[in-house]
Amino acid sequence: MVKNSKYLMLTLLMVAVNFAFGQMGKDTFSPMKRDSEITRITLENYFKKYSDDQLLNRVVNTETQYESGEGLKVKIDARNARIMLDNGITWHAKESAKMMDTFFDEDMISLQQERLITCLLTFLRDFNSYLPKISSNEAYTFNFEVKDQEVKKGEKPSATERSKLRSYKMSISIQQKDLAGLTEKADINTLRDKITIAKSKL
Amino acid sequence: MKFQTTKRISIWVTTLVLGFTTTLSAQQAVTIEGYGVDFFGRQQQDLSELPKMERDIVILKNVLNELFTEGDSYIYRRGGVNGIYVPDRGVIFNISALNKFGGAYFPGNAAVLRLDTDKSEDGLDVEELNVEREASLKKSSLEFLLNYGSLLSELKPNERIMLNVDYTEMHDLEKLKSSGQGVLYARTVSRNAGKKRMSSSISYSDIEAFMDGDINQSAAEGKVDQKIADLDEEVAPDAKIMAGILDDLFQTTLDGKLKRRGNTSFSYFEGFGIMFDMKMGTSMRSSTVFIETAGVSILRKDEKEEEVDKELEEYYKALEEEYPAFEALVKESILEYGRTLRSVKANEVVVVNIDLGTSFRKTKLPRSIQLMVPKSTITAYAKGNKTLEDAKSEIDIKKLTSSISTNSSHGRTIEYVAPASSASPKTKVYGTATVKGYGKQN
Repeated sequence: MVKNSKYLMLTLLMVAVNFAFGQMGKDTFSPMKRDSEITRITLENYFKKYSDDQLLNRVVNTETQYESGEGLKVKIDARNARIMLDNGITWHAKESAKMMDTFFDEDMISLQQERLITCLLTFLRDFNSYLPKISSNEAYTFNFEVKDQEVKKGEKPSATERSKLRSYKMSISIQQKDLAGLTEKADINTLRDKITIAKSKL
Repeated sequence: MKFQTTKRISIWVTTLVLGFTTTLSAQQAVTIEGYGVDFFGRQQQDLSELPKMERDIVILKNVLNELFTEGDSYIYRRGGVNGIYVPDRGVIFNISALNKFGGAYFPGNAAVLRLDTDKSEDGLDVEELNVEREASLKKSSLEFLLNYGSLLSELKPNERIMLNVDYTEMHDLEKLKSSGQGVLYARTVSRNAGKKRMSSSISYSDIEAFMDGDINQSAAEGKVDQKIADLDEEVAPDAKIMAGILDDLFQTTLDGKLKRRGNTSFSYFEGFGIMFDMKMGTSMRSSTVFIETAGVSILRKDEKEEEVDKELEEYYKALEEEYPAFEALVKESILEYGRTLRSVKANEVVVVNIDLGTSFRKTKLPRSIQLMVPKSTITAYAKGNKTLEDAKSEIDIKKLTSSISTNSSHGRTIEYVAPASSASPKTKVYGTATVKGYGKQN
């Protein structure tokens, strides 16, 4: 009994330490939490208000997650812009699908991606001081999920052969060390050389 | 690259439009949804060009919109978010809160609340709802000050961050109708009943102590001053008189080119000062209807529209030339009549926000302006200790390309302050078609 009690004591001590650290996390200021949320809100607003070129997406949601050793991951739900007739007062799923298929050919999707990249680069140039601080071996990764908008909440848009072209993931990463010390006057093309882009099907 | 891509899309769009016009009338147009910017008006300034304090305030206003917007409610709400830095006092934010039940709108004299609740009508307790709401607003206010206030790193330790949340408390529940799905409509007895303001403030030194780990969360919460005031009882007669003076002075100005829209409202913030909100507009009617939805339209222009455009262009040109006189008149009016504001203390400020409306997007005029003057300057001028020119030079003026308020009724918005020298109007013309943006306009 006495022999085993030291293991019991050790276990209890570990539980107490874990609890204390858990409480500490809850009870103290977290710059990561603050800056992640500010990044999320500011990035989403930036995409919604971007005026240099017309984005062919509508950003509807943004989420952030920090993973130690990897860095900050930002998930951006960027729905394809709807192409409509007559000022687009009403959206007719079947009729509009043809228009979407016609508009979003490979060239237009390439243009769509280019504009998302440019918009992100200008955001990184202008607002990098608001990003959460991460280690020099970590990265900021922006995962764009591009697909058609839902007709109704929870209802999947009808898929056509061509609609698969415009449903994809685009992941843009930049290492912390490449972003650190960047000035607001930095050239976008210089920044462009430092990012890595990966594309995959959704 | 930008030119090339623009050219490519313009060719595509023009082809698309021309192709469709064989079967469509001239009224029809193609819209690319999802473009929520001020597109065919003034060029927006890059937010990054603002001084850090201003930029931080803009960013925090958007954080506030997030914190106090609950659910997917698209019901209109009054007001929005104001944020202003007052030197030596700190930063003050003011928000008209959406409540957890949805939004509030005001048909007639009744404040109508949409209640998203699982409870049946009989199971609703007004007192309980009010208590729940107050607790929710308190929690959000604390979260904002403690978790995000530290962003304002240029504040001095003795300066404070204050958040004022205006809301309406229900005094009585008058059931209007139940629309199924747990949605119930209720209203307060009168429009002015139960108007409250929750003020929460903390010094920047306490925020720094929390950031540095010198104090924990609960200790930091204890440093926040929170109080709830009944706004109905807080109407200062001198502020009411000043609002009336501004209403009279700016009924019409610049030979009728600018007209007042609605009555001037005001709000007093203890420790900071008084803020007036005026709305001005044009006497001309534009042929363009602005719709608060995101989208870009490609429209063909006809000759009649071009005539209207020419007339507007001349009007806008005259307005631009005469606009500095308007600013000078506002400054002089604040100095001349601000002396009547006896309830504003010597160390507080007088702020006048002027919303110029959405009609001037094709001009170099700002969307709104904000003037701030210490009460001590007004008093010194009134006593003859300062000349008019000296006093005018002490009025801080900010020009914004969006409304003073950040309203979240149609999604989240961000504000930009106009550059010192306004950029030329931006309209993109694609062949025979003009692209117009129906962006969210604040």
